[in-house]
Amino acid sequence: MTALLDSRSMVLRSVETVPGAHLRSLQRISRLPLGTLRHHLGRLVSHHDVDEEQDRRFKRFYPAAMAPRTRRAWDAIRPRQTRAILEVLLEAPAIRQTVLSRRLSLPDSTAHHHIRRLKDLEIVAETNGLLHLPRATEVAALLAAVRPTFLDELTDGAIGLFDQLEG
Amino acid sequence: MALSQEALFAGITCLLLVVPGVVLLRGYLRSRNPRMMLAALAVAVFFTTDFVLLLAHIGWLPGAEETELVEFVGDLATAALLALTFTLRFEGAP
Repeated sequence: MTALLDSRSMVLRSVETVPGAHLRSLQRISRLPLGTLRHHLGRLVSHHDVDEEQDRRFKRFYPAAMAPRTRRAWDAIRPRQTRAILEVLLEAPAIRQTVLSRRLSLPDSTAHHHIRRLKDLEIVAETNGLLHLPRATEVAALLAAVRPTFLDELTDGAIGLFDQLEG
Repeated sequence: MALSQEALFAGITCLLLVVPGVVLLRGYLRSRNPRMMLAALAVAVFFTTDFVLLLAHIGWLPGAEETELVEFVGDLATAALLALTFTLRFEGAP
């Protein structure tokens, strides 16, 4: 019984560590057999400790206490380049997009793509041509909590390589 | 079941292509960089070609003795997509 509860709290901790992770990612993090993981996730969802959301063909799992707006923000800040943009905006609270792309050595088109997404999610706002973070404290907390997976690192590395071709 | 050398090579190639394929597809979905989409397509075509060859060589598809055309078309399409990946100029936002 204790082992069962330990496994369940481990699954809950995994969901809290990487909110929005898919089943397979959670399996890699928790190292539990898939059937066991499915069972515990099912229980956690039915007890309203964890919420599941359909994302195309997969389900993402979030701590139930996480607000929908924070979930979307969490999903958006996972890519390394997005995190780098937000880190610059935390250091320089009002900055032009061109200056930001130059500081990160990002092609303008790539920076534009990331910033547009962040603006849509109301994480970044623009006033008189200057970008800023209306919810800087929340963004700083999210950035501190991000733990990229190995596949995330590989993907970010590949994005960086392809961006160099644009430069 | 004894695998022929061709089937083994095709199977190993398929396995090796899974990770770059997934990484490029995830990269495209995150960055919407069209160059990454072309590269992911090139890997997908390469994978499909080798998968078809694998099925032919283990006897699940007919024509194991005549796979040259499949190989040729697959290689040509892969090479064309890779050439486009590294030569096309993309203007504006991805």
